[in-house]
Amino acid sequence: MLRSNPMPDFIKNIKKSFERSSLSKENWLDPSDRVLANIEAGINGKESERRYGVLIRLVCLFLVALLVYMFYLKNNRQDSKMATPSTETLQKKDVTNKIELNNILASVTEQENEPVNNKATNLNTPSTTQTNDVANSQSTHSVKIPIKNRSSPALDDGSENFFIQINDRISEPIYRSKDHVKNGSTADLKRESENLNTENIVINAALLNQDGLTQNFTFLTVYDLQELESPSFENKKLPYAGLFLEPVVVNEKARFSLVGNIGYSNWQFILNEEYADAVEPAAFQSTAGNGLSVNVGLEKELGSRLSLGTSFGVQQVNFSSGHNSSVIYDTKSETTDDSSNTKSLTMATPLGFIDSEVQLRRIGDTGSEETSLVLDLHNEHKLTALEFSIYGKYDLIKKDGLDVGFQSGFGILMLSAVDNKLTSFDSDNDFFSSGVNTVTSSFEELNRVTPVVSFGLNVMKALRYDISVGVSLGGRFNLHAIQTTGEFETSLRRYEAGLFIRKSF
Amino acid sequence: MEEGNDIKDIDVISKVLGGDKHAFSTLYHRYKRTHMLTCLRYISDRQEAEDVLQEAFIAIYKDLQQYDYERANFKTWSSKVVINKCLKKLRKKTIPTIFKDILDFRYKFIARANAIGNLNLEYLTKVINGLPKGYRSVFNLYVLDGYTHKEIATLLNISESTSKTQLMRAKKLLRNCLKEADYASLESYA
Repeated sequence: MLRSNPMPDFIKNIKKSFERSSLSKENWLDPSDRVLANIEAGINGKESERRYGVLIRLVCLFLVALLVYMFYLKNNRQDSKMATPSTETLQKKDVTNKIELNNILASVTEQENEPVNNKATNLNTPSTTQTNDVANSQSTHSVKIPIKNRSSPALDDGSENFFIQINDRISEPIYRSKDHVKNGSTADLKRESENLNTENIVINAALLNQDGLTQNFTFLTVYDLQELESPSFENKKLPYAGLFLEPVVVNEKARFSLVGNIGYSNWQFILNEEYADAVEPAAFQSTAGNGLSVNVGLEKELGSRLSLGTSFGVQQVNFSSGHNSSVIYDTKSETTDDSSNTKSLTMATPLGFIDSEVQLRRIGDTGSEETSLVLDLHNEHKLTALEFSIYGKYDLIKKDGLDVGFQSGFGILMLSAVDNKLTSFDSDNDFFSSGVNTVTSSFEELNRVTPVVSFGLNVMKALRYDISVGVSLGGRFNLHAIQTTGEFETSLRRYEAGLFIRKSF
Repeated sequence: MEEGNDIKDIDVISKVLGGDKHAFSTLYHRYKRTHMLTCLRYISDRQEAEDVLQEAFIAIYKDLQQYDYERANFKTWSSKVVINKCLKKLRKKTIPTIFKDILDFRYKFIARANAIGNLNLEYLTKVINGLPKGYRSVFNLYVLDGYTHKEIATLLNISESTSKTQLMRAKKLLRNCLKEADYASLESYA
């Protein structure tokens, strides 16, 4: 490694500065503690922690915790609830209830002419199996349901038998009242609840014949409650109210919903100052990415307004970029058969740099061996990304079947496929034309997995008690640059608008 | 051997090779600044320089059995491992030629902005680090790490003439970056 060529003095001085034997005073050279820790981990055969290792582990941990929590809630609910009995069960219960029927009928006969509201008090003396639940109740609410006005086909004997169940999202233990009504058109329903939130009540009414079999089924929405309060029912009598009172939790406290979303996605690539400064003189331009996004998600209601969900989505966007690049065409490099030069070019894109080889053809005599050319390069890119996210949703407004909710979450964006095509490169000199081109390498500095935070608003309209449709608007912001090449970085913001359908179960 | 340590490198290495993994931390603490300086000369981002240093030390540990103390001292041998790791890292970072002039300007500005204070090793490292990647690699390899143009050409997969040209341009850039006052300061410092 001996060299004979002399160095300028200032270079020698620089060299001497670096060759000093002691660096004891150069504390700035001390690496951070993590370096030694990672080295030790590497030596001991452990995987050195990658930049997002901790983050991904945290997300996984959170997901596991979420799933455990969801299943725990569900199982807990199943353990505690008394499930809505099937028709068969109802029939069996009817048999056992016949014993009670005889006892209760006697008291009903005595109270037959009492006003409905007074009749409701009978409900506070349920069968033995219900005593504990009733005893735990703090207050009572009475709801009058106009079954006849809904769908109440008359039975053969002209009577109408029915039971009513309240399907309450905030489900407190409630009691299904199966009453045989011969003359009345309303039933009293006693519900044990401290906080009867009428906004959240959906009432399902089913009509039974005398054998306890379902004849018809009617959904009453929350708006029917107004009807239920109609004064026209105040004085109706309920001859057999209180019969066959059974505690039933009709619905889960928190329901699951499956959400499908399809929409438009707009990707904004933000070049950092260093990158923008470097490429600006080359007349760098790029468009935003536009494309389609499809998401499916699972939501669980944690309360009347709060939901927690996970979603998985696929997005594909297209965008273009381009800039100028200077090359020198050298006629000495031409072959005898081919008047062309193949040049290796590195091109800047929002996703970092890509290498390519382009062929320049000389179609005229330039009069000199070397010609400086400026090429106008155009690239088209297609990007496919997968995203997994966890989010919370809070309904800001719930009115007239319309929900307006705010949504925020955290996720992981994975750039799964990036395609690039050098669509054109044009020379500023008429003596030259473009030939074939090949992209040799691309996007080596792409950070394919990055964390994302999301915010959004959605407006949802209930079509049925379990199906809703809506529109969503939102933004997703990457917490880390999607490409890092030295000091050059590109961050990503995405804006989305979509339509979704939501099915609860 | 580096910085006031009583035990010779070869003895520490023997311990490590004998299965004492903790002894390797002695080598680390002995050479961490030397190798960090090398990393910072090649890699502009400190975080990345630390990543390279980390990789280099792990490679040094794994290749320790190949080390022949009769052929070179540990510092020289391990420095080559570090340099190779730096070059490998740089190969991944492709900054197109067209953008280098802009970078040159930016780093020139940084260099002058920092020229107010005394010229020291940290400042010099920044200035060298501010050179465009190609120039920086050749300058570091030739001037500071003692490689020949032929070796540089092989390492960087370029021609010897390119290596010479880049070195010449690197020196020119450094001359432009460092003002007369800096030279004086540099001479007194050296």
